[in-house]
Amino acid sequence: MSKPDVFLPSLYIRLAIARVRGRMRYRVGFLLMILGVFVANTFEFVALLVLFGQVRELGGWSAGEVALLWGMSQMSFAIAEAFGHGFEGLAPQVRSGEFDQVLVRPLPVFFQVFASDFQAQRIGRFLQGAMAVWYSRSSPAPIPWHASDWTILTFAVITGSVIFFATFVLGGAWALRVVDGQEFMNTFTYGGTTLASYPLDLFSDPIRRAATWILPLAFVNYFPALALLGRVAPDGILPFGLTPITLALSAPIVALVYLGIAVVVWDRSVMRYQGTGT
Amino acid sequence: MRVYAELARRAWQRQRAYGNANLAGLFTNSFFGYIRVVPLIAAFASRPDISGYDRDAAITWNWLVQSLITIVALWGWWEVALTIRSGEVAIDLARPIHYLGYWLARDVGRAAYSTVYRFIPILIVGQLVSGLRWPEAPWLTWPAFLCSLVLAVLTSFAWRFLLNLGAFWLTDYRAIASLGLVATTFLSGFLVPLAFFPPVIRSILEALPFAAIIQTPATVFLERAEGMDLTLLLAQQLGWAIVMLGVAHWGAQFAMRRVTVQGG
Repeated sequence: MSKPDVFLPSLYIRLAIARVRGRMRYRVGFLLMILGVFVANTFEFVALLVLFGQVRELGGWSAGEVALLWGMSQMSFAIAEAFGHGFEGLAPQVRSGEFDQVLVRPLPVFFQVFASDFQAQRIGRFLQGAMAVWYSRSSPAPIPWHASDWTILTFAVITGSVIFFATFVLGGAWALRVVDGQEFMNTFTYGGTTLASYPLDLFSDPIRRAATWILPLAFVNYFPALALLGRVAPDGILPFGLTPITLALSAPIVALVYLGIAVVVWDRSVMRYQGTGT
Repeated sequence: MRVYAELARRAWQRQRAYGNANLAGLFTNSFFGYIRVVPLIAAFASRPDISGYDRDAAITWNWLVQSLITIVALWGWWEVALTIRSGEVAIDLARPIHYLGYWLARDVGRAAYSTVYRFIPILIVGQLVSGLRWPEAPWLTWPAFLCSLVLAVLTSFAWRFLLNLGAFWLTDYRAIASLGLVATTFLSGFLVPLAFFPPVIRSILEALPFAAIIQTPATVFLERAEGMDLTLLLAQQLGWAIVMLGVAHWGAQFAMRRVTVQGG
């Protein structure tokens, strides 16, 4: 394929702005949608607090500590959803044959799907996550923020969003191969963020391993949160016996490798794509 | 009556056409059931009893609510809204059958399918993964539970139908959808058992119709209401089903008059 003569990042920005503008034409609907996502997420969080109203800790984690995991997971996922929704919404396009049109346009397929649906309304989930993180630093007693805390948090949220984004890409690749697989993929995207909202050390060994080595959810928030909270992890949960700080700092590398794998899988799925005949 | 039975049968068959999606959904529900049961079990490490739920009851509640998701279409159901948007509603209204009954019959068929192909498999998964607390008085509890399940479907149908009618006034139903989701997940006892809430909030939530969608069938299955309490609980649920269906019927008539005014 010949190189396109447009600069893709600026094209992406133009398309994303067009999306947001289009949404803003129905301003009330758009704001209601942000509010709706925010409220739905808030109540899910409140449900967690209701449980903590009954017990002081879950497996040694306090409400504030779980709130930190929750908030980081939600913030990362919100960013990933905003940028990765094109891959998530692929299944109906494959079924209807609409996806075939993407293949004949003179732009990389990955870029077209990536740029097809920027979702600004996901900010509702992001804000709720940010509130949960704020709660975790203020309850029961305020914990002061250090510069290093901000660095770890920012790194972790961006890294986490790359990991979730790559999972959406893998989901898209799956949709190209298996037409009816949408709900199956939800297990790994929405299920992933739910799993990451709780302390990983609560879960059984196979799940922990899978969340470290296969779908690296542990790098989204668990290792960074251990570093932020200065918690000691149970035996055998930290790969190679590395410290949480080292793991938190190496998370970007893990995320990029995972994204690289996802892109390769995606490209191969596009090459092998056969369509549905509709 | 035969036409409604036929509609229900067709709805059942339509679900069967999505066999693969059902399998994937089963996988998703099972996975979420596992993710959510783990912290719940951890909560019972520090105390044996939370508001009358012991560990086994809480585990069973967890798998039970997962298995109810598709039966009461917890994540939403927008078929009516879609026909309003596309204008197909005019054809539905022209049919010589009761409009609400038409949709109710279809929903009952859909729910019956989910009961066989989702509810039962999820309970089996729950039993295999974490072990469930099965009714100690099966001859009483299972029939009571089935009644409660039917009433839950009726109440949830009426509620979903009313949300769908919102599409007559708002072009985008997705905002209504996320707020409706709060009602059916948080207020219904799906995210945490209503018994875990502080007493005042708990009694308010137990009085609302949303409890009839999830919490009541779960309470019946867990045998947390017996004798007179059980009768009263089912009577309350029946009351909500009738009231909600009544409101849905009235809402439909009101909305349909609006369609006529608009000229279709």
